[in-house]
Amino acid sequence: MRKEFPMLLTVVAALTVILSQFFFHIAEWNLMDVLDKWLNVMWGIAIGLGIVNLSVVHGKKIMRRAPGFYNSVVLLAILYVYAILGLWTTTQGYYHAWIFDNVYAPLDSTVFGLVAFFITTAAYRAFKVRTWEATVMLLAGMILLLGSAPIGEAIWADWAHLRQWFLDIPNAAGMRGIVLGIYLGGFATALRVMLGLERAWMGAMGGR
Amino acid sequence: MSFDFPSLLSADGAPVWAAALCTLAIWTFLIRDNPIYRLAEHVMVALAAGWGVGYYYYSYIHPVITEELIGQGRWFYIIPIILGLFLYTRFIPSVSWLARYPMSAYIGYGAGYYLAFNAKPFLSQVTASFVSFSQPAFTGTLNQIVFFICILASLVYFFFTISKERPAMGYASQLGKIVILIALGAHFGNTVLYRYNLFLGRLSYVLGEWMGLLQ
Amino acid sequence: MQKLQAIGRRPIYVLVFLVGIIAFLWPLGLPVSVQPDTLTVYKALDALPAGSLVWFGAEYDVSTKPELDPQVVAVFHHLFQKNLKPVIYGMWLRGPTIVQGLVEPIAEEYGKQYGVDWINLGHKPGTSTNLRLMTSNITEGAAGVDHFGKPLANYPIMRNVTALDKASGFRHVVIAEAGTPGNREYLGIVVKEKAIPMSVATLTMSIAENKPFVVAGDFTGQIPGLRGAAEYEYLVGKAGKGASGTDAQSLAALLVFGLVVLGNIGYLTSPRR
Repeated sequence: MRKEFPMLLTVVAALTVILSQFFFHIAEWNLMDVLDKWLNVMWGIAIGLGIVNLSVVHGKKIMRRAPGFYNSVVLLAILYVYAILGLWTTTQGYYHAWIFDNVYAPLDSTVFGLVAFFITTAAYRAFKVRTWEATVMLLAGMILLLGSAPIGEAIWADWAHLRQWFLDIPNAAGMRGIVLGIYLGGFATALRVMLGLERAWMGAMGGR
Repeated sequence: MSFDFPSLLSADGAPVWAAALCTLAIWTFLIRDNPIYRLAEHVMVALAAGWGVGYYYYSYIHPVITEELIGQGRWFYIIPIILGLFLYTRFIPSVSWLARYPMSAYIGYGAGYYLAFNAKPFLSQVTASFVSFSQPAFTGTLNQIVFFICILASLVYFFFTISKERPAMGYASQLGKIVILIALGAHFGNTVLYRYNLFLGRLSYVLGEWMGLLQ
Repeated sequence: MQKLQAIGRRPIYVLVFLVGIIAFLWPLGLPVSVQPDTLTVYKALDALPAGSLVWFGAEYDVSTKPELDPQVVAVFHHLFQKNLKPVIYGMWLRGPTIVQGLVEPIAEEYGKQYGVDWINLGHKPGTSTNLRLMTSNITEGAAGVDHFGKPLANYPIMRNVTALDKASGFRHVVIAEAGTPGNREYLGIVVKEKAIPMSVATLTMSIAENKPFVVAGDFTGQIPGLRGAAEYEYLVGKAGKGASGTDAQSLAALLVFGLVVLGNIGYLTSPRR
């Protein structure tokens, strides 16, 4: 009940997809449509998981008066007020959209942009010609770096062509090797899941 | 060139001030980790999690319940709804195993989906590797030959079960390593520019919309 | 010379800021040449007959707005110039909301009416599950409502559209993507199963990893990052944030190149090497 049924459900779900895809007569039963719809409804119900999880983690922090707990108070307050505002006015509501556009969006994209600083210092410190392998990688990186910006062409008119050649020939070949490996790894993992050999998804109780 | 900040209290200016101050709050992290950055970080997480509630409700949960479940009498939707609710049992240790039921459906679907829908893209990558050397221009033929050799070499590099001590395999593997390093170097060069683009996007906002320095 | 590899991180941070500020205040105005990847996408969309439906996957979030927004804007200028009918959808939660904000002013500029000339199906739960359902039944996949929660049956553009397939009139898929779920889901579910060609507006970071698919013909082409946006803006005759961004990008690339060179000079002259 705790382990066998979920395992069985895994196999049934996987077979439904595979058989519907490869057998025309089974596809006609529209089982895939039903399964897709059910999974989507489940997904929709699961939207609250993140909120419950955040509430538990930050609630505990507040109860323990852990360092910086006041940030957790702010987080929970904003989380619930914003969620209720969304339910009240919809996401197209003036204030809801205002906060999204002028608070959330700038915060999020600035955080992602911060990496520019770290990647610059990392390139400066680590991109050294220590070995011939490192030198190859460095040269490819620099050709692409300058070639992808207009400055490459300003320095040398054919830089863009060189960049394109690097992308289309050695890069595409190397990436294809990686892509084929990823696909094969994915197939193997999917088979392991179907055969019940992969149980990590069952969580801490997977062994029991 | 002079500063031209928008009015903080105007309907057009307030959003610009809010966005600019949020940007500056995150940038303070570059000096050191500090309370302003921490606060901004927590606000961001809260808004990210809270945003979806209203959206999901009106664009999916409400129509599914009112139109499809009640309106069209599709009562069997109760099953996925209950299964979805099972996910929340993860927070109650005594019944947390119930969460495996919806998870098993997702995982099973994922496994089946991967096998069923990725076979064609995989085969497409394989067949596209066998390129024609017969090209109108000599450089085209040369490029296709180089491309084919590079693919073979990169695949040889990933064969860990065969000995690389034989010269042919050893050289092929070395070439494969070079090809993969070029691909990774290309990826790195592009990643640097990508991160800069994100940063420059914010900088242009601060300099332009907020400070009024850009035309 | 050895000190060249010992510059602290704070001076480098200041340099990054300075380079950005200089690039924006005193732009170089460097021209951007149109590369084959972008041109292929442009030609593919340009060749579509007027009135064709184009599925637009808004597969990104606010974090990647600076890179993808200019591409989306340029592509929508083209779609409306050619009188194509975009249908927006997103596996990413906030993608359709972002794109809605970008498209509204462009649609107004070309006199295009929501629900008649274009529509936004919004984001729906499920990633590959829902995309697959869309290829079979759009009404089911969208729960019968658009981005605003309004019934799809109210909109003329959806009158003969039942699924994401050729029979419903979809001739091309364009996705603006920032990762997973993204092009691989569309490739397996839409391109291979429904034989609808796909173009990808992608991040600069993803150009290299998408290349095997572009070379294989799985993707019609890819608009490569901010530079791609500048190229597309040039092609559609609408200068925007792509063009101004690539200028700043040039100085940033020079800065990183210069720092790597300095670091290596310091390393090569170091006796402890």
